[in-house]
Amino acid sequence: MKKSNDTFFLFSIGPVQEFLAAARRTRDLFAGSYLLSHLAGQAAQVFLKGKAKLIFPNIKKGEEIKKLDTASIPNRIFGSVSNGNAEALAEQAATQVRGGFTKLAQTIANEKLFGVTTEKDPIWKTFWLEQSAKFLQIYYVTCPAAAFEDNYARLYRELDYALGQRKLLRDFEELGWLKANGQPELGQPGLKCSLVPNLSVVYPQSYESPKRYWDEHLLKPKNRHEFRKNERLSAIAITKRKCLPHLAVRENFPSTSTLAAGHYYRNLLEMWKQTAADSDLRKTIGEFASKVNTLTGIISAPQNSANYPALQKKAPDDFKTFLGIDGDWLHSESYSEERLKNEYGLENVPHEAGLAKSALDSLIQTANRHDPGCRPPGKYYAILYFDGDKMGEKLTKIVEDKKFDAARTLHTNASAALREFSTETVPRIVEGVADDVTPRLGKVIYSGGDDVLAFCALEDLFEILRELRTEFEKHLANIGADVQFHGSVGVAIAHHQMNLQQVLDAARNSEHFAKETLERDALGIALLKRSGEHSTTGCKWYINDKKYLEHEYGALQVLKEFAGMIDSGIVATGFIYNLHAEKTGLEGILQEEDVLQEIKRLLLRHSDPNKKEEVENYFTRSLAPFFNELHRPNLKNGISMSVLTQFIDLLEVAQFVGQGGRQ
Amino acid sequence: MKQKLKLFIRPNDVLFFRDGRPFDAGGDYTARLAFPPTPVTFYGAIRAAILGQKASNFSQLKTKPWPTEFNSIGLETQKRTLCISDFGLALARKGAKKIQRLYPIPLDLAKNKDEDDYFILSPSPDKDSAISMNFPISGLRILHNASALDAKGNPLILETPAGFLTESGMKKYLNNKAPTGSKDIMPTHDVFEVEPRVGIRRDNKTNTAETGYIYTLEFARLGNAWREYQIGFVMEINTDLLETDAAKVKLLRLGGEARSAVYEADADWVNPDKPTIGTKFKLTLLTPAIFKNGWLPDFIDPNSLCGPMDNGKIKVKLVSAAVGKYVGIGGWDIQEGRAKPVRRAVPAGSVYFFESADDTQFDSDKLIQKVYLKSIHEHSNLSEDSNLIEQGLGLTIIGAW
Repeated sequence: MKKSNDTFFLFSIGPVQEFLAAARRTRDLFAGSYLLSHLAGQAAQVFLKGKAKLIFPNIKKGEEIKKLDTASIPNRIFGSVSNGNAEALAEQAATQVRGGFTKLAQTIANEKLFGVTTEKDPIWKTFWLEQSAKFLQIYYVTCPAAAFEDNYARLYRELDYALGQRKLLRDFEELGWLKANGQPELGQPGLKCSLVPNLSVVYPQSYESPKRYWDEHLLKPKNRHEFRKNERLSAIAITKRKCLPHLAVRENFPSTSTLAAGHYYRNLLEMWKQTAADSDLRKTIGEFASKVNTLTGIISAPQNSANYPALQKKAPDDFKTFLGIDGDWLHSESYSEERLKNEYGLENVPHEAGLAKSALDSLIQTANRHDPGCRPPGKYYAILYFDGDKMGEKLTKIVEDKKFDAARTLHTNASAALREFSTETVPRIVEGVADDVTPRLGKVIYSGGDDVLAFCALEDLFEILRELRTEFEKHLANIGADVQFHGSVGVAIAHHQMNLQQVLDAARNSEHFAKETLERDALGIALLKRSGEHSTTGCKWYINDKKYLEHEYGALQVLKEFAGMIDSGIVATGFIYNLHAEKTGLEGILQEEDVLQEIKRLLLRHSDPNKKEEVENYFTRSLAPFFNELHRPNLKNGISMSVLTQFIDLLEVAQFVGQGGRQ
Repeated sequence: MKQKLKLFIRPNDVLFFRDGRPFDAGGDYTARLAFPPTPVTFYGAIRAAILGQKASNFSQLKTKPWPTEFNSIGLETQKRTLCISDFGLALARKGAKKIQRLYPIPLDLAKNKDEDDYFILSPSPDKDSAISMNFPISGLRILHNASALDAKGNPLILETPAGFLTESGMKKYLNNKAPTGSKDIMPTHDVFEVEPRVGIRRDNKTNTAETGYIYTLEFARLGNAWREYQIGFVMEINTDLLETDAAKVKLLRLGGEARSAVYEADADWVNPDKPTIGTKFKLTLLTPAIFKNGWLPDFIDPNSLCGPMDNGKIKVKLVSAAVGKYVGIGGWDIQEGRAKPVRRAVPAGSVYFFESADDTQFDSDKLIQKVYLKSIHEHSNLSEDSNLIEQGLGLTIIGAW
C-alpha cells in the first residue's frame, strides 16, 4: 500500500470559557466570541498559506478572509500538510495568533480615550504588554500519517488523545510589573479587574493609584457608554470590549433589557403595520421615541441601540427610531431620580425624564387599547448553549475501518455539514431574518462546528430549541455514515439586570445537567428568578422513543402547549401552586395512576370552564404520557430528584415562559 | 520551641471566600465563590485570632514595630516564625472515630470519560514518539497509561475526575494503584455546595430596600454531621499564643462576611504512608506553589531540566509534569491599606515527575525527610520577606512512579 506523505496537526486556542465568561454586557460576550473566532481564522489562514488542507473547520484555500471573520470558526483546527513541516507551520500559526492579539491590545492601549501612550509611559506599557502576551494558551500536536500506517481513524484518535495529554501541562509565565522607580517586580499590584479574575487594573505612571486614574479620567459621565459605574478593567477586558471596530465589525449588540422586551417591540411592529399613518398608536410610539432620545441626548446615554436582527430588517424605516430605544427605557423604574443619578452620575435629574416617563405610560395605555392582550415589556430573557453529544467519539466512529481516502472524505463531509449548520441554518433558526419566515426574537453570539451560543426572548424559546435539535440531526444524517448524531442544550432564563457572568454559568451548568445527569440528547433549563429563587430542571428531548421532534407529546410540544394555555388564561397559575402544595403528600402515594388522577383533578379545577374538554384532551394525549415517560430511568443514579419534582419544575418553567416572565 | 497545635476547624454556618474580582453592591452584583481557599486565608485567620485573644490595645498594632510578644506573627517585613506545616489541602472530614484529610485530586489521576474506571498516568517510556507537541520545554515526556485502552486497543478518552481524594484513595495513589469508587473519591457535592444568597442594601431612614442595591453572594455550605461526616479543615501550626483551653469557646473569623468557625485544638490524624523511592519519584502539590518561572519549579534549569534540591545534595531531572490552570494569590495588606500584588500560582493537585539526574539511586529516607509534607519552596532561594513556606504554600507529598 502506498504510504501517505501527509502530516496531520491538531491546533487549539484558549482559554475559551474564561475569556467568554468575562462579560458584563452582551456586547462583551459577542466581542469575546468574535475575537476568538477571528484569531482562529488567522491561524487557519497561516495553515492555508502553508498549503495545508483543513478538515475541521471546513475552510478551503481561496476563501476570503472576510468570510472567515465571522464568529463561526471553532478554536480547534484539524488538517494535514503534504511533504511539509506541520510542526513549523503550527508554530507559525501560534506566533501569528499571539502576535495578532498583542498588537491589537497595543493599538487599543494607545487610543485617545486613555490619555496616555505605551511609548511614553513604561508602566502603562508593561501592564498591557505583560497581560496580553501571557494570556492566550495555544496547544498543538502533529503526527505523520505514516506513523500509523495510514490508519486514519487511529491517527485521528491518537492526535485527539495527545492534545488532551498536552493540556495536562498548562504552562504559564508569571506577570511582571515595573515599579515607579523602574525596578522590575513579579506579580501585578493594585486593584483587580472587575471582569477577569486575578488580573490587575491598568493605570499610567502619572497617577499614583489605579482608582484615582479610573475615577478621575475614565469613569466620567461622557464615557458611560464605554465603562459602567464602578467598573475598572485589565488590559484583557478592555481589549475585548473595544476590539470590534479594530476588526472592522460595525455590528452592535442588543442589551439584555432589549432582549427581554423583544416581544413588545414585535407586537408594536405588528400593530404599527396594521394602523394608519395618522393613528394615535403611531403618534404615541413616535412621541415616546422622540422624548427618550431627547433625554438620552441630555444625559449622554447610548442612542440608536441595537435590536433583534429580524426586527431591524423587517421594520419600516419610520419604526426604526423606536427600535433603537434600549429596552431599559420601556420600564418605568428606569426614570426614577435615584436610578438616573446612580447610573448616569447626574446631580440634578432633568425634567425631560418626567416627560419621557409620561410618554411611556401613554404608550403602554395606547398599545393596550389597540390590543388588550398586549403584555407589558418583559424583564426576562433566555440564553442557550447547544452542543453536539459525544462528537469526538462519533467523528472517530464514522471513520473506523475505512480506507484512508474514504475516511478523510467522510470527515470532510461531516465538517461541511457542520459548517452549513452553524453558518446558515443556525442564524436562520435563531434570528429568522429571511423574508419568508416570521421574525424570530433571537440573536446568535457564536455558532461554529457543533456549538451554538445564542440569546432569545422567552416567547420563541421552545420553538428555537426544537428546531436546533431537529436540524442538527438532519444535517449530519446525510454525510454517508451510519451513526446518529444528536445534541443537548443548556438554557438559563434570567432577569435582564442579573449579572451576565452568573447567567452564563447557569446556562453552562444546565448544559452539564443535560449531558451528565440526563445522559445527553436532552435539555436542561435553569430558572433564575430575580427574587433569588434559582432552580435547574430538564428532561430528554423526547418521549416514546424517537417520534419526538414533531410529535404532539414530544417534551417541547408538551411544554409549549402548556405555556400557551397559561398565556391564554385557559389554565390558571393556581394549578402549579396547588400541585406544589400537595407534592409531599402525593409522593407518599405509591400508585402512579393515583398521582395522575390527582394531577388531572387539579388541572381541570384550575381550567377555564368553557375549555375543560380541550384541557382534558391535552392531559390525556400529552401530559399523562409525559409524566409516565419521566418514570423511565432518565436521571443518572444518585441524583435525588423525584419524578414529580422534575414534572412540576418543568411545568413551572413552561408557566414562567407562558407568562412572559411575569409572576 | 513553640508547641505544635493540630487544629480541626469547623464552620458555624456557611463560609464565604471570594474570587479575585472586586465586589461592591451597586457595582458588580455577584460575588463568586473560590473554594477551597488557599492556606494564606487560614494563616491570616490564625494571626487575627491571636491578636483578638491577646492584644489588649489594637491601636498599638497600627505602629511599627509590633509589641515583641507578637514577633512570631509579625509584620510582612519581619521574619515571622508562625508556620503552617502538614497542612494538606486543609479540607478534612470528621467522623465518629477519627479525622481524615481530603486531598485535591492529583492531575495524574485520570478517569475514563464515560465509565468509573480510573488510571494513574506516568511519563511515557517512549522518548521518540511519532507525535510531536508544543511542550514549553523540549525533552518533557507525555503522560499516559498503557492500559487505558478500549476493547480495540485504542486510547480511551480521559478526563480529570471531580471530587476529593480520601485517605484510602491517597494511600492507593501513592502506591501507584488507581483509586476506585466513592470510598476513595468523595464527590464534591458531599464536601461542599454553593449556596447563592440574595442581599439588599437597606435605607436606614425609611427601613426600605435601596434601589439598585440587590446583590448575590455565593457561600460554601460544607457537608455536616447530618451526613456521615462533618466537613471542616485541619491544620498544624507552631504557636503557643493561640487559645487552647478546652473550657473556652475557640472562635476564628474565617473568610469574608464576618463568618465564623470553631477550632478544636486537640485534633489528630494519621499521615499517609511514606513510599520507598528508587531512581524516580513524583511530587504532588497539596497546596498552591509560587515560582519565579511560572509553572516551573525554581530549582529546575529550563535548559537541562536538571536541578538541585536540598542545597545541591539531591540532584534531580524533571521528566514530565501535570500542571493545572494557575490560581491567583494576593490579598489585602491591612497595614498599607492596599491590595498585595497578585501572583500566579501552580494549583494544588499539580504533579512533577523527577528522576535521578545521574542515574544513581536516591537515598530514599533522606529524600523523604526533605520532601514528605514539606514545602517545595524549601529548595528555592527565597527572599527573606516572602513567607511562602510559613504560610503553608507549596506543600508536597511524595510518591513513586
